[in-house]
Amino acid sequence: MSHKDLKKELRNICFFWASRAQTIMKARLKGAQTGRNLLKKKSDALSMRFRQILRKIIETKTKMGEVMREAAFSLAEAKFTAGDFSTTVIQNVNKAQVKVRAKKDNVAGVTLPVFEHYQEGGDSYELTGLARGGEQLSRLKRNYARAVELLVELASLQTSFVTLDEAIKITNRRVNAIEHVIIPRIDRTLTYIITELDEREREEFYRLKKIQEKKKQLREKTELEIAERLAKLGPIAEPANMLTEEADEDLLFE
Amino acid sequence: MTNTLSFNIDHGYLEGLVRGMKAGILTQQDYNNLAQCDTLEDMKLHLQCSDYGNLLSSAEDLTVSVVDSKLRENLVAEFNCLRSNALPLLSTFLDYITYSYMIDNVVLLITGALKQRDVAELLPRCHPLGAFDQMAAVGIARTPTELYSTILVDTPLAQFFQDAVSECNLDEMEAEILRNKLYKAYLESFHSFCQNIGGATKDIMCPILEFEADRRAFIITVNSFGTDLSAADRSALYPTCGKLHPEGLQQLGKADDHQQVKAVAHCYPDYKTVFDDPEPGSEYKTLEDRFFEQEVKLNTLAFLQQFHFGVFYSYIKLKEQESRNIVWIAECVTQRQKSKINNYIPIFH
Repeated sequence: MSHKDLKKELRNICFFWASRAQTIMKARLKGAQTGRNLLKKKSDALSMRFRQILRKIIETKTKMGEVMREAAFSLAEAKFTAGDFSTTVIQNVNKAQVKVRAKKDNVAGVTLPVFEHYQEGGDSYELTGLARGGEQLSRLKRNYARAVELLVELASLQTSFVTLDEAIKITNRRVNAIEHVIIPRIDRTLTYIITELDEREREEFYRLKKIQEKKKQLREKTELEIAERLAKLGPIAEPANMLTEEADEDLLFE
Repeated sequence: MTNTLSFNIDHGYLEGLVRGMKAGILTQQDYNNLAQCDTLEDMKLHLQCSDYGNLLSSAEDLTVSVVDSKLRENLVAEFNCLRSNALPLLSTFLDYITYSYMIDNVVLLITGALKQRDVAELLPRCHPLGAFDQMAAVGIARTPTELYSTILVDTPLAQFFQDAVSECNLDEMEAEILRNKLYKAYLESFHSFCQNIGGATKDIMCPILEFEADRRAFIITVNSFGTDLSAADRSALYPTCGKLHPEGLQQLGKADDHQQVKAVAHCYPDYKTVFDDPEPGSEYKTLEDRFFEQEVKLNTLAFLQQFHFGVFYSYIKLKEQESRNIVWIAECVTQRQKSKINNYIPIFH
């Protein structure tokens, strides 16, 4: 191929790659925007759950204060009636009667631990206070059992609170990163590509215009020459000789 | 064996001492003052005006448990003063009083030995009134039967173990069941001892002990509803020296709910009032509270007669109730639960 052809090919290839880059950039921009929206939704869901948990924590803590007060008072009552049973209780401890299980809960992709308590085995203090203070002791057991339940609930609420807090921070950071860094970057790249393409197009256009002008000039010049030669030679009419013409002109835009 | 004329020769000094100490028991006015306090420091000030004097002033860090232990120390000191000066019959009587604390200590040590706990930890937690010489040696035994055969046989409690040991294996017995069986044997033994003394002692002590026996029977029945304790087992725990024996105890053994227990109580005029519903408008009192009140009433009657041993028993019991009252008021004050502060048992109106 001629030199001009090669240059043309190269130009075409660059053009092709630029527009392919543009398509790619457009796709990436779309992807980034979708990603940002999804993350925003996740952040909103997490924040909602976070606020719910906060409210529950406040409720539970106030209830806890009440319950502990009542439980401590019922301990005083039981001690009044039954005497000092603390040593009996301590001596009879063998296995835990109330145990805690950990389960997983999923909120918008974040796993939160949830604790629940369960009873195991019978009440080993059934007969304590048989002869004195049995009623007060059973009331005491109930009050403290309720306190333990509340404590377990509070514990799972607080761990969820902390985990959710972390997750929300991370998600928000990602959302902000996409919104303020990635998308502008892609935007800038895209505008650059577009301006480059525009410029190339304008270059192309200008080049063509220039070629056309030059051709026109050339044509006028040759016509003038032919007319001169013809005038010199006189009235001999000759067809054009294909072999003597030197260059094959580009057939462009005639 | 003791008659009115010669009582004072051996026991007159101690009876005088006890009556003097009884005069220092807190009155209603004192309780009113204590109930109005806002902190333990205020209570300490009020107690300084009473017979307790500077009991609490040495404590740097005043908490309810400190108050409790100081009151107990005081009672133990008074008791030891009486016991060390007592002559034969009174000394046995005072020993009988300590046996109930000894039973609690022994049950504590047995459960501790079973769980292989360090005896040195358990000893400070034993009630000082129930101390016996072989307590420190308890750590050697590994099972209750061993404990019994090597150590407890030499203590005064050996007689109460007869019943428990003969029936079933000591190792498998629950601590509470053992405690109640020992207590039953102790009550019955104490009752027959008082009966043997005769005279005014018998007239005062026997109603008190009978009341104690019946009260235990009622409370054990009521508390055993809803537990694994079968009717037959619980019948074995009823002391037989009370007024309920034999028909009342039989019926209690068959009772399945609170209504039936109430029905049994209605047959006996003394216990009818305890189980009756309170009149509308008066404060709700638990069953235990009403039994406490009845006990306090019987104990105060002891001081109306002279030349008998009942005053010593009643004094100890009333002093204990007073300690419980003071601790209760202290707890209400520290926990700021003034609504129930008047739930103590008043002793002398």
